[in-house]
Parts: sequence; structure tokens; C-alpha cells
Amino acid sequence: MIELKNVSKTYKQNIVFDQLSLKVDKTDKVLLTGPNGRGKTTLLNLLAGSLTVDSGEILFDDKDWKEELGYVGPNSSSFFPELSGIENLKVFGISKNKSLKVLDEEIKKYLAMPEFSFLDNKFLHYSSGMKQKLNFLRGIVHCPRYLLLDEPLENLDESSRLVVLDILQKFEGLLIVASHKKEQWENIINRLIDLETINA
Amino acid sequence: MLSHLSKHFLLLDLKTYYTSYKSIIAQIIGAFLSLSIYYYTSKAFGDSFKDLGVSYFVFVLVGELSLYLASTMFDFPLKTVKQWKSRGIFDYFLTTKISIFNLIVLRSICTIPRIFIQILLQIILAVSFFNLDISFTDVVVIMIFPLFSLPIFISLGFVALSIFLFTGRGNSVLGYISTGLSVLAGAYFPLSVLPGWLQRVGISTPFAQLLEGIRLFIQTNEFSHLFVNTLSLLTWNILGIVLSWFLFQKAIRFYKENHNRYTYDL
Repeated sequence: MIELKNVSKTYKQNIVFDQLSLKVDKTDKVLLTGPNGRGKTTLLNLLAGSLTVDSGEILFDDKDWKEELGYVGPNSSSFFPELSGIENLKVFGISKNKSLKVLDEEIKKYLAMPEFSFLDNKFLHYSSGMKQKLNFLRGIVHCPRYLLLDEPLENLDESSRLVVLDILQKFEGLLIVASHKKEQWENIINRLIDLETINA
Repeated sequence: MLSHLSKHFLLLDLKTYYTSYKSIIAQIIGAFLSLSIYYYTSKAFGDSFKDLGVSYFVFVLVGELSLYLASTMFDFPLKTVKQWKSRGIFDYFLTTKISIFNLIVLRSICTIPRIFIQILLQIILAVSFFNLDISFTDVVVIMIFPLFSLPIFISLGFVALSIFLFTGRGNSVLGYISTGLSVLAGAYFPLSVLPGWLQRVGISTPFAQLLEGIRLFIQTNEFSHLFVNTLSLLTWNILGIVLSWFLFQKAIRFYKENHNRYTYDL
């Protein structure tokens, strides 16, 4: 479970959240919607820990939440270009405190899928779609309990899109996905949070 | 965990700096050219160094090689974070379990093998082409003794990095501190040519402590010089770790609160 208590966040003059309170249960699959600038990415960054709140608090039901959190951010280029996809996944997976054995098994599983067969190559040579697929794998390779996704289907071809949706359908933990395209998520989500109304 | 991560950071470091045969050849040529400059400068103006018992070539080369690890460690945290930030990796690492402080320290330490390769390359070229007369023990001391000063120089690097995280700027600060410390350390000339008060400031800096220990050892072959300077460097190390840890925690907190509001000079 994740709980936000009276969370406020401001960028210069722009109030993004003012006393926002919210509770997400451990099996919730949430679609976060709202027009541009309403704070979808900011909320995910606050939950992921790369931003801090101005006031209020964010509580997780697991004290090792950083270890259990998977984050697929909007920047799919945030990798080491000199390393291969596999090496990148290991670096970021280990930094989540996961053992190399677990990571190797997970990577092997994805490597067997044709959509992820490019992982042996250097990141430097990846297309936008490949980068996005690696970005998605980085979020799930350490088997997280909480998964935060920011437009994870951007730049994906149809078969990759279906594979990603299939993986997410089988995901058993807490899922929050920020997206403008509601119809893509109908089979996965069980809760909708519209930041325009909740944060009005 | 950290040992597995260090393996990957080591691989990353070697892949970044030795991208192809061409880059290796370019580094050899670069080392050869800088040695040529020192060698012929020594031939032209070396007479004034006779009192020190070594040629200017040996004096300046030992100075540069002894400070190579220290100056790289000093630069590295800021350079790394600027690179990570420009790629978006830095913000991602803020979400990971292993702290960003530990990740930067580990990444910095993983440059040591490459620095040793660079030092050995310079020594091999200097012995082969410029008649450098140096013993195996001297080479070992030049490479190993700077390791005792690792914490203070990484700490100074974290201080520069913290200034960057607070202000969005950092290169000029790093340049001023680095140049100032090199001058005060006596890397390129003996400290005795400086005014008395500046000599006293210079000799108390960690760069000078490190360099003095190695130079005195090479001149006398007595390990006692190294022990005296090791104690002084250990004191600097403790001060540096405390200061940089405190400042960096403040800087990271500031960055997490404010980084979407500022533009960082990358």
C-alpha cells in the first residue's frame, strides 16, 4: 500500500499539488490521467523518490520500498551507451539490491522472447523502440512489488506493445501507470485517478 | 552487491576510455608529446635544479605521476554526475536502493586500474625514450602511496559536486581549486621559490603532503618519510570524509526539492 498525506508540491509560481491525499492498495492497478501539466510525472517522481515533497508525507507499507519499487520513467535514454542492454539491466538491477542470480534468471527469460532479442547489443546502437523496451525491462527486471510507469507504450510496435501489456496483466503487485490513452489500459486497470478532478 | 557492481563499473570505465585501437594510439602519442615537452624543457633550463639532486625532468614527471590519481579523484565525482545527469541516469539512481553517494564513490574507485595503466605507460615511455632512471620500488611507491590519500581527494571532489548541486555551476570552482592546489603542492616547481607564508600554506595541503612524501622517498630511499606524511594524510582523510558526507547529504536534499526548478550547466 502507498499513502499520500496532505502532499504539496510547487514549481516556482505553479502549484502542482496542494494538500493531496490518496491511498493506493497493494493490488490496485491504477491509471493516472489528466491533461498536460497536472502533475502525472511529478507524482510518479515523488513516489519513486527522485523528488521530495514541499510538505506532507508519502508512506509505503514496506520499509524496504526502494528495493521493491520499479520505475519506468519518461526518459528512455537514461542508460550507459557503452554497455549492452544486458549489462545495463545488471547495473540498475544490482543498484536495486537484487542478487545477480535473480537478475540473470529474469534476463534469460526476457532474452528468449523475440521482442527482446536485441539485449546483447550495445545501447548506443538502439532505436527509440528498443530503448523504450529496455526502459520497461529495467523497471521490472528486479521483480518489484510496486511498479510505476510513465507512458510505457510510447514508440513501441504492435507486437512489443502486446508483449508489454501481457507482462503487466500478469503483474501481481501495486501498479500505477500514467497515460493519456485510456483505451489501451482497459484490460489491466481496476481504478482510475484523474488528477484534474482529484487535485482541483 | 557492491563487488558485482564494481565489476560492471570497471568494464564501463575501460569501455569509455579505450573505445578503439585509435583511441589507445592517441593516448600513447599524447603521453609521448607531454614527456617530450618536459624532457626538452629540462635540457634547456635544468641547471637551476642541480641543487635538488634530480633533473627537472624527473622532478616534474614524479610530481605529475604522483598527483595523477589524486587529481583524477578530485575531478571525477563532478564529471561523473554531469555525465549521468545529461543522460538522465543521475535522477534514476536517486530511486535506487544503493545510495547515490555509494554509487559515485564506487564509480570513482573503479577508475584506479585505468589510472595505473596511464602511469605505467608514462613510465615505460620515459624509460624507453627519455633515459629516465627509476627503480622498481620508486614505481611501486608512486602508484601505491597516493592510495592512502584517496578519501581526501574523493571528498574534495564531493565538495565540488555539492557546490554544483546547490548552484547548477561547478566547473569554474573545480578549475580554481585544482589549479590552486597544484601550484601550492609544488608539482611544477619547488615550494621554496614561493613567499614564506605561501610555503606554509602550501606544505599543509594534502596535495603537497602526498608529493613531498614520494619525492623525499625517491631522493633518500627511506620509508620514514612516507610514514610521517601518511599520518598527516589520514587526518586530512577523516576531515574530508566528515565534511563531504555532511555537505553532500544537504546538497542531495536540496537537489531533490528543487531540481525541476533550475537549469544545470552540463
